Amino acid sequence: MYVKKVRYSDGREETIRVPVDYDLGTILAITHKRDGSIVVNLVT
Amino acid sequence: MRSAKFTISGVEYELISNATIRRTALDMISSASLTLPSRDVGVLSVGGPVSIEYADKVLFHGMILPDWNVAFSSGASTITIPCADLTYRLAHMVVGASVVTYTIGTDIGEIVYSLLDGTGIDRHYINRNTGLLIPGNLDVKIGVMRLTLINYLAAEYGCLFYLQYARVGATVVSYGRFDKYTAVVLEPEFDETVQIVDSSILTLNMSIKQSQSLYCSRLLAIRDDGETHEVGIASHGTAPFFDRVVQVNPGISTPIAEVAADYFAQYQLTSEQMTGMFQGVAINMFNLLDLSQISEVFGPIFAYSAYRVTDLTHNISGSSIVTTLVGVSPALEIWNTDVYKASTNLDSEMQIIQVIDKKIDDEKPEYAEVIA
Repeated sequence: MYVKKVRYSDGREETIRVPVDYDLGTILAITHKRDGSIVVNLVT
Repeated sequence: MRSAKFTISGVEYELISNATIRRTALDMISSASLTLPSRDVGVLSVGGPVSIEYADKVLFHGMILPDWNVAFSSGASTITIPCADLTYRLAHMVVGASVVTYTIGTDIGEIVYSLLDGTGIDRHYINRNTGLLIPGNLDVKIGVMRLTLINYLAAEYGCLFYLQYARVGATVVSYGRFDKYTAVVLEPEFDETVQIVDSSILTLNMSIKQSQSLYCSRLLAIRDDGETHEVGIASHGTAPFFDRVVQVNPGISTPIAEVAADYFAQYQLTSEQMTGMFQGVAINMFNLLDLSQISEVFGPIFAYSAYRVTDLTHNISGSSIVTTLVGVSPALEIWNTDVYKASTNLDSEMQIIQVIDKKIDDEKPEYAEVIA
């Protein structure tokens, strides 16, 4: 699992752990589910 | 302390992050969605049995559907399992691989009994002698699904078809119920009442609405079987009237004046709709929700002390349950789809959109850029 830092369009920054080593500048779609987990999808 | 019980493929699970159950009287396929840590899940097979119970009531019994998703997050991965009740099988099984003909005079209960064969639905409580006979040969084309035919018979003859879940010893069973609405309404779930009392159950919100979509002051019921043409009229007040016309199935032999009076009374009942969101209520479809103990609102505001549940969504998390429901007047005959739709004030398109919207609202994706 890789640790990545992401910035949302409203300026918020968050650190997430994902199984893929995304490059800098990659756009992701992140969904926060009710139980605290996240689903990450690759957009570009 | 009340808690929820989940069984997947025969194995009982303790740690479920979240479960959602959705039931509505209109389309009758109930669905559920379970989210749990994926390391705790054994072998999942499509069609495997699933049951959800709360406070000793079975809220859902069905099967695993073929689409899951697994989500990764910090350290843990969870799996979301969508399920549908056994009506899903009826919607995905054809009546026959060749044209099937039911001969004139066959009891429609007998037809429904044969359609439930091989679906896993228990048929003990299907009434095979409803007394409603088909007036001519009924040919069913190739490819028509069993549920389509059952819904057609139910709507045409004033019957109701639904599944009732129950725990029988170590297993949970889905009983199929099909009968004239007047008989079905005598079943225990139509009488079962859950009472809201200020202190024990938290009412999150509740609203009552007057809707006029089926409003009329005169109703004309027309029955035309090709030979005789009958018209029944029911009204209140004086001219000018707001008229509504209803076509009656020639297979129903009740005197036309009675049919008109019946429809008229039903349409008047659709004007009041109740929606509410409660915590800690384990209630099933068609149960009655008794509001008479909520001192602040009962009396001048609510017309009835109890409402019949026709649409509900349970959200179970840990040991708490939040239920959103729609209730109608207990005397409303919900087999009649026009009356049902008017009482919930949503046509089926809107209801589908409502379900989709709810799923989308729950989890909206946000875009982010990887910066480190």
